[in-house]
Amino acid sequence: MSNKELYDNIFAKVFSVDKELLGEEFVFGSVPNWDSVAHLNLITELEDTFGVMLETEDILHYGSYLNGIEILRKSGVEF
Amino acid sequence: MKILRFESDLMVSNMYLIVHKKSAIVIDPFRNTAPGMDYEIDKIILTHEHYDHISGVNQWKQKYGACVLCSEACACNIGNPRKNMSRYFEAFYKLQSYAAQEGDVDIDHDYRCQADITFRDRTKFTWNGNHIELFELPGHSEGSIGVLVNDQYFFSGDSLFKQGKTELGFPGGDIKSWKTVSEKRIQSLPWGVKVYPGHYGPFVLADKENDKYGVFYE
Repeated sequence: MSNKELYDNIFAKVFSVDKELLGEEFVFGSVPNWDSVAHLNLITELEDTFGVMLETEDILHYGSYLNGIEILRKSGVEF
Repeated sequence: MKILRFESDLMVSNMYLIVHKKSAIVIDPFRNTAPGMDYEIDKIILTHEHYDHISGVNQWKQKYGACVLCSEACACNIGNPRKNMSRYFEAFYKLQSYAAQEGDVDIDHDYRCQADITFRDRTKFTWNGNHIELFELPGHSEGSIGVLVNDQYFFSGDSLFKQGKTELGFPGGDIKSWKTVSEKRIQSLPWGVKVYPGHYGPFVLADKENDKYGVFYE
């Protein structure tokens, strides 16, 4: 499974959404169940899956599906 | 016996002192140890492993030398900043809407502490003539417990609130365990027990026939 597939699976699982909805409009504030608790689940799932430790600033600004890919790239995850 | 409540600077979580004459048991200690200065601290009890409920464990242990009692699952998690949530706490604190944010708070992102006595499922002991029973309430977190004193006072941690449902969605949360174990244990609490939750003020569990957990009154 590619990292992109893993990434999409995490978002689909955490937010209980169809993967087809994942894209540039999938952002904190516009997704009804993307609250602070879901955000914690997202971050811990990403860290566990990709073996990274995100900085607090990155956790705070991990506010969109697409921006998240850039943050993970910065941490050495290849997409 | 009397019960004292103190609000912490982290999510306005509650720390409690159960006081008998000059002795006290502390539940969920925060970093300010001053409330214990007039007492001999016999024990520290943790209702669960989340940072806002354990942030003062090391200070209280160091200052008063009391032993820490919690569930085995809680003991496993309080030594891990990812499991006790201290690593994520600053981000969560800034994003959450459960508690008012009043300026910056000092957060140790790598917080760890240790338990001295642990139990599985349930345990009990007598303290200065008071009967204290502790039992696991998995759901909000793996290590959550309830503390029932003399069948009259119940320290619920984050497992029972007057306002709102118990949050089961955190990492380590478990809806199935909540439904199969914890909900039944809460529903079997004695009628009229006074509940001291992990946040907000105390309330009384009054009439179980009219509500899922009871009709509450102050």
